Amino acid sequence: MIKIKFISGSFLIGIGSILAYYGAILSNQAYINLGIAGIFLGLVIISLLPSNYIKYETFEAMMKPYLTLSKNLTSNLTLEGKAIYIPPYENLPKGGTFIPLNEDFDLDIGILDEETVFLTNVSREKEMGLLIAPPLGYELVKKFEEYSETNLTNTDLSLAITSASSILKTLDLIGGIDAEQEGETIKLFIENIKPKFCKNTESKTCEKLACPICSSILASIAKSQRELIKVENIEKHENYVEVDIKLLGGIEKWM
Amino acid sequence: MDVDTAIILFLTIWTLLDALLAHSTEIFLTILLIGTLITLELGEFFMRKESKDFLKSITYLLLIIFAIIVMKKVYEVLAG
Repeated sequence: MIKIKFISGSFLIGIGSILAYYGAILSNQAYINLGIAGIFLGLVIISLLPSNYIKYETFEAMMKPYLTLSKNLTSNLTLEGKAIYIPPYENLPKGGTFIPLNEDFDLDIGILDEETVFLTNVSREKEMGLLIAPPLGYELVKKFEEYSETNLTNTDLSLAITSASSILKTLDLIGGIDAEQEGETIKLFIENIKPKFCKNTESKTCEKLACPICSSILASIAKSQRELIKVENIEKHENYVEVDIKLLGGIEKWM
Repeated sequence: MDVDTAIILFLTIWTLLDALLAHSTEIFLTILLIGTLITLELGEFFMRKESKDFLKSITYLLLIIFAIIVMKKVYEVLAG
């Protein structure tokens, strides 16, 4: 891909330069214009065409074992609670995902840190769970910020959704995202998720440990709202995935 | 069709039509400037930082050329 990109780009720049040169000698306006156009398009191809693509099948094949691991991990640890996305704060500068042991949970985010995975050294069972820090899809959240050239911390929900939607669309992972907010609840409609593993994974697994695509969207919402968010329900339809999330309050509330 | 391809396709069609229909280099470069501005405005959210930086530098270069064209035209009018 890199070779093709540079060969075609250089070819266009070469042809463009020759055309522009002869256009100038022969005083032919069309040749001059086409020459400049060739140089311009050559540069466009070299710099705009992404070079580091991997084959789709490779991506699927690499992702599948991780999804099986997620499923096994949540079922073997008998994690009953649904995922809670924690925005970045002092202890977890990149944020995190906490999956409580019980549906009825309590959490003191003051005791969390990036080294902890299994939260068992706590006084009550209600506080036990699995911590994934940074959350899956953290690198995608970084891409959202890089593409939109904004820091998502404390921004509008709409900006977080627009960034996630456009970048995931550009990366050819989803068709788009729609969101509806009603007070403390947010309904997300993630359209046309391209990877096939999404359809093959049970909603129950996604509610606990979502794939990097959904996880990145949820982590970016938590980051933009500066609030902990809980996945209430994930429903998979023919062409879209519906995700219900609940805002649980800011960092201070959970300290 | 992915977004990168759509952006390249738009710029290619715009530039080729511009090159074939423009009667002078000044008009060609001005319309090329408009094309890059449209691409930046509509596609900014979908482009990688490096691509955006490249298009922005091309736009600045075309803006300088546009300013020279305008100054040249003003001089021609004033000189009679």
